[in-house]
Amino acid sequence: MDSNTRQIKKIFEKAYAENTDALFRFALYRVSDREIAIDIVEDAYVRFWQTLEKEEVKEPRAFLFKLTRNLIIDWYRKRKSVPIQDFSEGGAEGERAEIFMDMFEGNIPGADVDLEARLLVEKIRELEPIYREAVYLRYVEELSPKEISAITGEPTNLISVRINRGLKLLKAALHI
Amino acid sequence: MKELKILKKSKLTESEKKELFSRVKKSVETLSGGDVKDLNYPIPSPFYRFTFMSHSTYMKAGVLALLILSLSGATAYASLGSLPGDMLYGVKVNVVEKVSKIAARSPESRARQESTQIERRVDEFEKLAEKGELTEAKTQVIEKHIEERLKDFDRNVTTIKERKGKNIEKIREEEDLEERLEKHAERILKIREEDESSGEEALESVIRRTKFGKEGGRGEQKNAPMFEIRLND
Repeated sequence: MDSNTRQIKKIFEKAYAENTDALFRFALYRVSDREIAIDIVEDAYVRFWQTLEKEEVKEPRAFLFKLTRNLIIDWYRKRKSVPIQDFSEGGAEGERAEIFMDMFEGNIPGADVDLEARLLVEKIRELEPIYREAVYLRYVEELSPKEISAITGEPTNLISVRINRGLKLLKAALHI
Repeated sequence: MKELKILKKSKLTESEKKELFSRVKKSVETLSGGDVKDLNYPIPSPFYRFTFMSHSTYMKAGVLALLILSLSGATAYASLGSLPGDMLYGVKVNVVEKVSKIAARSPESRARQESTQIERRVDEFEKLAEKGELTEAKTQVIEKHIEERLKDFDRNVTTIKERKGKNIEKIREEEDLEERLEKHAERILKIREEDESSGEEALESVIRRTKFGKEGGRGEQKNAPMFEIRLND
């Protein structure tokens, strides 16, 4: 193992130890299926390794979230080819797929969250979808607006506005 | 917003994580022919979870406090009542008190912490005097700690004054400290009356310095310590 591979291995192991749960949650709260979430995280790590072999990754955490997010989008796109009756009730096929892309839109498997979390998710669902991801990444995963901007590809200012407005709306919904 | 943190409860189990790691390793090897034979399942650091906390200072204090409580909880607790010369006195002033200072972020709260610790040292002085155990070495230890805390206290008071405007003559923290020290001076006088042998010179010195502080002399001699606790050789 040469020094470059050793360095890649070190970065990879550290990133795996520090981010696996967060990436899994991020995927789970979108795809609402534990096994699919694990598959997505697996793909994200494989791509992360492949990227590390080619170039330096300055912000591994943000980069891994970005990879996971893109893989979730890919997964939804593939689902579009599935017959409409495979989706839950209502909505056109494409429309349904887009709705499912929002965080917390689907049901979270019972074993993954307790009642308290479930009630909180209900309140988060009251937020417009554009606020959910920003608030989630900022206050649950504690990413900075700059990191979130790197993940979503949107300007940092816009992310900050979403975080602030989303938080205000969520506090109002929770009466705090 | 701490309410949202409950969503962090969703996690993979340790065995799921290990299995996922093996799958990733295998895929890397198959897909890109990567050299992964020395790639090992990482054991997360127990301190990692704190590195992304936004209130890192509070968290540091929390982690340190937790360490103290978990690793030497009884020691830390027992150290609270220790006096100079006791085995646990070092734990009290160098560990327990320093941990509590980490959480103080504003100059006001830092000044309050410093003044509390100064008062605690004077209290220790009183206790030793009461027990007739006041020696030169112990007095020097207390004096050293008081001087260090006073320097920090003055620094924080200066910062508060700069922020609030230079025209403020006295701030609450200064008044609080002086008021409390005055009570100590009265108590030290009482001890002296009861026990003439208890480091008389040192007691006199404390009283003198405390009064000096109260009369506003410290404002003119900023760098002068409030106390000069000395015993004759």
